[in-house]
Amino acid sequence: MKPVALFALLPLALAAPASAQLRVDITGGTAQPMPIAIPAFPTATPAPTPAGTTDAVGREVADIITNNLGGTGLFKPLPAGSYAAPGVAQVTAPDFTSFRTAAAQALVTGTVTANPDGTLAIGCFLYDVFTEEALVRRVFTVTPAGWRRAAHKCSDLVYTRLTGESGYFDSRIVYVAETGPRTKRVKRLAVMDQDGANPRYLTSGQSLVLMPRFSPVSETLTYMSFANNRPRVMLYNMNTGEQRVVGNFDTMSFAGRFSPDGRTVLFSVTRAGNSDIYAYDIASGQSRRLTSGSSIDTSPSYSPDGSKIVFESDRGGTQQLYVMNADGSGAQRISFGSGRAASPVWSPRGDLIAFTRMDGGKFRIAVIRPDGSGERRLTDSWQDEGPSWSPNGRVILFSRTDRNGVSKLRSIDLTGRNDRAIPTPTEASDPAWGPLLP
Amino acid sequence: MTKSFRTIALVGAAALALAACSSKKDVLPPQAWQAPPATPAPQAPIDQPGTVPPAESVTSSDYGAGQAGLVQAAGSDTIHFALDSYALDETSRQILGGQAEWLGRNRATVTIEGHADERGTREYNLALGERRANAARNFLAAQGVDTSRMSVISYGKERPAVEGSNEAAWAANRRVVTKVTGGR
Amino acid sequence: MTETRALLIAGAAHLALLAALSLSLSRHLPANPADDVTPVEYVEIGPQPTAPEPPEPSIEAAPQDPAPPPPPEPATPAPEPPAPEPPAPPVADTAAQDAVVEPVKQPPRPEKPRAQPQKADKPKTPQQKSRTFDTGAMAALIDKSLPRAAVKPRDTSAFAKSIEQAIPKGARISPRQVATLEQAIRSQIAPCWNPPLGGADVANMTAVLRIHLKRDGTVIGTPEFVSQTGATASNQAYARAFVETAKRAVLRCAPLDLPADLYSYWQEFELNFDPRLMT
Repeated sequence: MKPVALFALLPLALAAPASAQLRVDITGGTAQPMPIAIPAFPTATPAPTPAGTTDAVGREVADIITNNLGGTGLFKPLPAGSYAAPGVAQVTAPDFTSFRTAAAQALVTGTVTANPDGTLAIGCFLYDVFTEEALVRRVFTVTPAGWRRAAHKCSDLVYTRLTGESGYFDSRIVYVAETGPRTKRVKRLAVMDQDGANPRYLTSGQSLVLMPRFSPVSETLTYMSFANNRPRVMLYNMNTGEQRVVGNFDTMSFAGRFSPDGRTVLFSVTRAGNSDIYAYDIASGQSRRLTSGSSIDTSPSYSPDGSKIVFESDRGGTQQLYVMNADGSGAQRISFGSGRAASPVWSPRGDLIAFTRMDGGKFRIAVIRPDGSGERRLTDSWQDEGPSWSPNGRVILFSRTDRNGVSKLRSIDLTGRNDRAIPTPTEASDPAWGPLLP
Repeated sequence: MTKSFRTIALVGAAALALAACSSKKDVLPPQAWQAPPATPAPQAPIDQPGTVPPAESVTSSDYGAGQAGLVQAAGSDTIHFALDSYALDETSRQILGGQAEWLGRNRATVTIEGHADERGTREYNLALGERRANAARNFLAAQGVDTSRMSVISYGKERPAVEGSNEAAWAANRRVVTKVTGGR
Repeated sequence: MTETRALLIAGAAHLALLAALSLSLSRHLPANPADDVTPVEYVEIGPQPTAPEPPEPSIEAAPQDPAPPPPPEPATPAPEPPAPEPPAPPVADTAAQDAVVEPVKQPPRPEKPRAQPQKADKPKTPQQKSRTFDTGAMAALIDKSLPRAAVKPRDTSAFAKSIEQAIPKGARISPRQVATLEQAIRSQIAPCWNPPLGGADVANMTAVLRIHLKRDGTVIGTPEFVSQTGATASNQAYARAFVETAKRAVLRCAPLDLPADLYSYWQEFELNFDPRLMT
């Protein structure tokens, strides 16, 4: 009887119990910011440092991280009073109940310690409040002058761990600071941390300067200068102060931009009323012409792999976007529809090109796929122009001029959310986002 | 007493000059114009960080008597353009014609500045300003002015003549200005 | 009863069961957007008297897990070291060296959560198998006579138990009850889910978690990772973040409020997180 019994039970083993187990599809979520607790970083013994006392630094570090993460629109830092602030011991062993009660989903904390050699040790701990797992455990050792960077690096770690995106907080922005009457504007190159801290002027305003851009690999800028009444593209090493003219042209050169490997500068040169795009090899100093014809070709930008260039041209009658190979061949128009398109910039992720769309009397920041499909207009204001991507290709920096002519910097997420102001001490234009600092 | 006499003399001279203009005769103004010594192009090194900004000066043009002479002769040192255009209209051609004539009589050098209004992106406006300035220079060259006496510079939308975000301001800013830079 | 007759009866019952069970298995093949499952769909297929659930699959498709065991988990320690280590001195600073000190405890930590899901499945199955019947001999039979499933067969014992209960009593959960149960679960978990908004990579990902609930609706332990689609070598960071948002969604909205009389059906179930209809 045994073999029969076994045989009869055969289908039971075969028939997997999948049907007894429910599977529910969760096909929608919400795009709500994640509530996160970022209490002031405690310190074991408050000690004075050139950056302030360690407990004061701990409060400011939390503020910087709060500002960074909250500013993305993806996180909602909870007010300090809604949970019990952790002491030094709780940094490595938090009491999660208090944070769960506050409805936090994640906790960012760390301690600040003054080292005997004058450096600061700033911890960075990220916890999942529900699973109680420690997701990030780091300690940064910084000089007192660089303590803010520890907060930015911590923000990058937390952001990356929770969203999967690479970070962008430990970076700088270069822009043109504007003062004076519009008919006699004084323009100076300025650099600041991406959150607006540590602003520094690089030029005196004696000469008109425009369109500064960072090299992705070195502490070098390219910008356009009218010094000596010769409008030219320059290379400027921020550490040494050394300057060099890009190319050797009698006519105006402008709109310089680095290649992703930092070895080439693309720019425009005018000739008999038209302008062409050139590639300047920094090492050899040689320039190579990439476009020709009787049109204005300008605003070139490489794809992240360096194989293609997007640029604007009026060869078809009005300003539109074109994509060509890096050697100048095969230019194809990619922008269509109503209005004009200008100042394109290729995202570091390669998936999108941001540009200025001029239509119906308005200048808007828009994005489009490199094949020309999927155009989305992200802003809707009087005059938004000159976009620049964050290092992770998620946020677009641009300049907004209102109807009174006042220019300031703003940023917006590539999904069109979170249009916010970037603080500058003066009016500002021509912003460019620098790379993540190593 | 002397003052008013001088004024009358100047007015009379101006009237004569204008009369000369309209009749297109080769008449020199009563006093030969002495150009002030040409200021050399600033040899200052390229901007160093941290230096104190002196008074604003981005062009080397000298708005002195030479400029006035040009304006008197041609009626204006500025011509205007339609939106997005670098075509010279009739008025512009007349003014440039006057300038060409004056340049024929005065061995001055000029910088032709091209400008655009704010309703364009920054890079394109630099190129458009240059197109406009080139158009003016080509016209002057066709009228016989030696190209070695003319240089071209574009300021795009960086140097508006008139502040404002309205049609009148924009129209005023879409211009080319002929600036006398030196003479001999 | 003669052996022959017994064999015939066994054979007939065998075939009947095979038919019934093969019908019930189609329930969990990749569903089209039939989230708005309406009772109508189930009625068409028709409930079988002996089957707890209606639809029809084929045996070959039987114990299929949608994807091989957790790929992102082994990568857990990897992203941490490559992340920027020593912050270089900023421009204006003198050349002070910044260093990163990593607490020694770090490497062992990721092991724990990673080992968890794999441990949970494998040891359980053989244990429970040995509790109810000796499947060793049967396994040999199965392997020889049937096409091998791509992945390990699911836990059969619980199902066997429920079959034993179902067959004599004829008790079943109706399609409408299933639909209502699903809707209750979905409506309670979906609002708590914040998928990462990373763009193209994340939009095409899905993840399946398995959860075990107590009668009061609280989660036992943490949600178990079952499988994931859309993860590639280059989007591991997104893949991990995606799974974590799914786990968090469940834990945030626990305890779930579900009908007590259907507890046997929702004490353990799977959730398939798919952001394609994101608002």
